[in-house]
Amino acid sequence: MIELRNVDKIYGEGEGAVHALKNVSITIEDGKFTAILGKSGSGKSTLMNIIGALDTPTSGEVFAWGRNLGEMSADELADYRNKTTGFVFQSFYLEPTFTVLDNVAMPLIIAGESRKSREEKAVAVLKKLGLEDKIRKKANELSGGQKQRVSIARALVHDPEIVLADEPTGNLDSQNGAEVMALLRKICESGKSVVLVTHNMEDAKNAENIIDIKDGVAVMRGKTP
Amino acid sequence: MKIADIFKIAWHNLWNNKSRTLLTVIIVAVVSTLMMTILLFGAAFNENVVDFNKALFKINGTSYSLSGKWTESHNTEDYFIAAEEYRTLVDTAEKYAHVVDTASVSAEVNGGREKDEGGALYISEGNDALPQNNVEFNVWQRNDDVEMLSSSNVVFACFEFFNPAAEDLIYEGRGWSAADAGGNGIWLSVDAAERFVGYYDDPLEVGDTVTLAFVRQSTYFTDFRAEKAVYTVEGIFRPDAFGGETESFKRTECIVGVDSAAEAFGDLFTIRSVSMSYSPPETEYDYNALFSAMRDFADEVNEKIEPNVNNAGDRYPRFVCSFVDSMQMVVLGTVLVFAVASLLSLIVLLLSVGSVANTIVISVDKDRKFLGLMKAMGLKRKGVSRIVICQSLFMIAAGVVLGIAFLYLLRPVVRSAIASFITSMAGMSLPILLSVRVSPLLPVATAAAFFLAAVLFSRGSVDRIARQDAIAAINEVS
Repeated sequence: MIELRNVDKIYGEGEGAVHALKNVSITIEDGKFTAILGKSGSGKSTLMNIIGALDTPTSGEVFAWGRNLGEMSADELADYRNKTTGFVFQSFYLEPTFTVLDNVAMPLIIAGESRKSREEKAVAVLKKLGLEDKIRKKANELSGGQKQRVSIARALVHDPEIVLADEPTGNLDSQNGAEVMALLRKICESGKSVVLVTHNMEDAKNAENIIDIKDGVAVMRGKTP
Repeated sequence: MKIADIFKIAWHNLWNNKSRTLLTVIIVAVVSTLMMTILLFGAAFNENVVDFNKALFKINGTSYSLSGKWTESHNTEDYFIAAEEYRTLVDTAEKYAHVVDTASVSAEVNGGREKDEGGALYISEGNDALPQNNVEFNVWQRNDDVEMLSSSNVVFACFEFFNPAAEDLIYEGRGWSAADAGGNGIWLSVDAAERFVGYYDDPLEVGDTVTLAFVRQSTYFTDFRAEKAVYTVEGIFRPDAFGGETESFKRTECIVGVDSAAEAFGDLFTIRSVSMSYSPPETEYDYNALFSAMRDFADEVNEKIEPNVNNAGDRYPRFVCSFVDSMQMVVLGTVLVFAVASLLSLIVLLLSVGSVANTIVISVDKDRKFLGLMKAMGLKRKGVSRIVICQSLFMIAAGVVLGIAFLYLLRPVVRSAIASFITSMAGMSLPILLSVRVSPLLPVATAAAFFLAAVLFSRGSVDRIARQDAIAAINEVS
């Protein structure tokens, strides 16, 4: 479980300061599909970055499974990201000249796993996502939908506690978008926490919990009807 | 991350920026070629000049000299070697007999007069000892003004080729102190006397008093041992002094032993200098062992005897091995040349490393997005640094290897330049073939210097990339 207590995030100083998050206190429950819903500039990505330890709050505390992220060193936070979180980005961020297998295995490469072990894990997750025939292809040879599925495979390969997806359907057509959302639901059903950052109400409907965010103020409102 | 993965990612990053990587490698190659050429120049100079001097040693051998101790006035003209010092030298020389061939002693006996008035007896046991007080060496002299007991002129007695087999001793050399009363006659052999007489129009007769100077051929080191029991100054030949009638001792050409002279003349006898020489064998020999022995010999003698000290307090060792001394100067000189070459090389490196480091940083900077993404996925700062350092290593290693190839192609030019320089420095053609060997250490040292300098120069930028926040990295990706 991830819990944010009275989190503020302010970028810059003085008159130019931007108050991205204002006294946010929310909980991401284990094994639940949570959507952070808000318009562009509302602070939803900032919120996701703080949950994923990509950013630190200006004030307030973030607890992840009982550990205070604010008390962790840079290396511990890196370990936290590497072992606990999986990121899915709108623009995929695959390394185009790497094979699909190497892209997916990247978190395991960073963790220092042996080649054999990481390839086994990467192949297994790619099979689950129906990409076994793309293993040796370069990332730049894939379609957008395939890229996002590879990106999701990368987010899952190290068996994280939580998958954070930032507008994962933003660059996809509706069919591919639907497939990605179905995948995320499936991931959640397998017991992992999924946090979806989106401005799309339709996508947010897949979530069990929705956090509305507007002008840095977040409100949990439970599942949409 | 595993090392193999660091290499793989570093290589991947370099490959993704081929043109930038190639540019960096070429810059490193050109600069490293220049650096290696300069260093090679220094190393070849060092090696060839040392070899040149070793060749000279093979031809000329070496000499040793023990100079006298200056008196309190620090007047270099007023010096002497104490009997104990002479004995120390002789004893030490026996230990190093394998690096000493000949020895000669320059000494004088002052016949109770002031030195300026002459009256010196020269005992020469070698070909280097020079006469003093106007007695010309190499020219046989007859002093018609000799008055045996009262002359104020130079009274000079010589001892030449006492032939153990001489049967008929005719001429008597006389000399030294007025108080001596002529009791210390020296008997010369017939052969020796006849040889001397041959230089003069006025033939000598038996009983004449003569003054002679002479030059002897090499006196072998065995004389040092022999002279302990050779002739007395009275000129009485004692065959047993040579340990019997063996041919080898007959051949020994000791004139008069220093100990004997010292005993006979007491305070009047003064040793001025001792010279020795050594020539290495014509067969193969262990140069290092010989050099080490010669150096140790000189050091050991100098440890046992007092140095000369001038008014400024500077100390001068009195026993010198000419080859060791000159070799030390040569080594010092070559080290200086090498140091200058290294300094020049370093200057070249420093002048160029900025642009090389800059190129590396730009090359790495283009990978910030990828590195940022890896940071977002948990890559630690040191992981980023390792990848960047690995990239630098790849480029520098490739550049240095290319530099070695350039150097190989330029080898004839480099060799010719080095030969010209060394020849002009030596002032003659080298008696040895010039060797320009590239030690494996050269490219390794160049690459290491390059790498260290590049890492130091690019440290700030690399650190900045390694330290960028994960969110900044994500934004970079965005």
